[in-house]
Amino acid sequence: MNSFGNASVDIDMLEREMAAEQTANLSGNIAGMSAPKSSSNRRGPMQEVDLDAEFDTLEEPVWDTVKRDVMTVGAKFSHVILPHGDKQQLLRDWDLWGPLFICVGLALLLQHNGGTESAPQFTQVFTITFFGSVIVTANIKLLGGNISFFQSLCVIGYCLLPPFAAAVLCSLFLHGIAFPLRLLITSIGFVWSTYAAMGFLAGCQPDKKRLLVIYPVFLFYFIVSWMIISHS
Amino acid sequence: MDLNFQNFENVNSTNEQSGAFGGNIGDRNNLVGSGASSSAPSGGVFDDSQSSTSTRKGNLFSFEYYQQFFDVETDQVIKRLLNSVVPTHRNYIQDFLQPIPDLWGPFWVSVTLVFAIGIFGNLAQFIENDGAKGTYGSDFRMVTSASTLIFLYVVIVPLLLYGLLWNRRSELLHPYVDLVCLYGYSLAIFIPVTFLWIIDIGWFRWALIFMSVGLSGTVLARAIWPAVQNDVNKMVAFGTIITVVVLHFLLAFTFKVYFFDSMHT
Repeated sequence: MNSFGNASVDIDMLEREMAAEQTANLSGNIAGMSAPKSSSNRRGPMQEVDLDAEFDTLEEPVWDTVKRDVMTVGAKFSHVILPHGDKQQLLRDWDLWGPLFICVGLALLLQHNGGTESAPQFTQVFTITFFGSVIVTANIKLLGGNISFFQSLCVIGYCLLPPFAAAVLCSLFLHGIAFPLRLLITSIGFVWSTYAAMGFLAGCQPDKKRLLVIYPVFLFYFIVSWMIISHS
Repeated sequence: MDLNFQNFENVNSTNEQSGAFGGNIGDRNNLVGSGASSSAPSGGVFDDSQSSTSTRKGNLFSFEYYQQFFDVETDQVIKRLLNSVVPTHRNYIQDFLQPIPDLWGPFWVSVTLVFAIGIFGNLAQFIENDGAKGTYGSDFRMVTSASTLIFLYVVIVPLLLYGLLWNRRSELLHPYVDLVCLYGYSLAIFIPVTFLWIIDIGWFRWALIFMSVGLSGTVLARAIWPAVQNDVNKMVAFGTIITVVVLHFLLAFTFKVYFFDSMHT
């Protein structure tokens, strides 16, 4: 924000100067000759501001863009694993890449794992994880939480990472064996994700409504964990 | 639906008020003093419900319309949950739901019940199978059928009831949302019951059914009775209450037979 404010101030000043130069041009030729140089000197720092703002992604290689996005997604995942640093910054630039990957991944891992008809379909798992987080988010908004819809969707989706890791472990390496171990792994994932989501969402509600916000979040992760333990 | 209802309510209320305008305050005092017993004039009761509905406004499709039904606090929800199980009060709708019913409770009680049935039903069948390999918890169809059944029950039955009250020109026309809220909270007792249904003893399951339907059916009947008690046709009044309780019993019976006992047949 700060750099933006400076930039706009710079532009204002520049425009004023340009206008002054225009009037100077009218008065005399010699002043007009020297004017472009001084203005180009002034433009130097302003161009730097442009580069810092990172909005000009047209010129850079595609690989840089992808790498930067992957880095931001990775930073959010690391926040879920080990809560640290500034959460507000993380909430401000939300994205839905992480939730998308996790939803699709979970649905792929859990569909027809038992090989029987009774296991959930891809659609069912995807619907429960995706629309589940939408409903939990709608619940937060309806209760009057001061967090935007997509911020909350982003938080709840990213906090599915521990159950997703548990699902990978359970259905790829421990499929059908060692039930106590799978139960342990899934419970750890469940507690972890609930704790991480609490850290993000606890501040957005008045005390009297906190339990009403927490319970659906708890229920959502519990259901996802139940699907993981019973279909891996 | 709601728009319709508001129109008719307004028409009704003007008729009512022109008749019994003078004694309104006195009537209400009477009502508080003697309880909602048989001969209480309708003015006070009606006035209450009317003032509560007049605060609800907004477009049916706007976010704010639904936000007003989520304006509850934790202890209020806990009070409503507990009292939907223990019928120690006179009228659930008037004592606890008015002036503002919430939809948080009905929705999350229903969702919890759906997944409680999914989880505990699978667990019960696993135990009944003596833990045979590969039979645990993979029946996801329980969740889909339970959610269909429960959400139909919570949406359709109050709608029918509301239609009946409107059709019989009931003096105490509860708003549709109040009835949905009543029905949603009345399902709360089945959540612990599904947990106890894991125990595979026939008479124990039956005892749980009768106990739970007895408790929450009483709450339902007592809440709906004042709305139908002054009906000219007594058969309709009693028939409504009996149908409500029987439907509630059938719901619990379906849970038991379809989700918990299916291994025995």
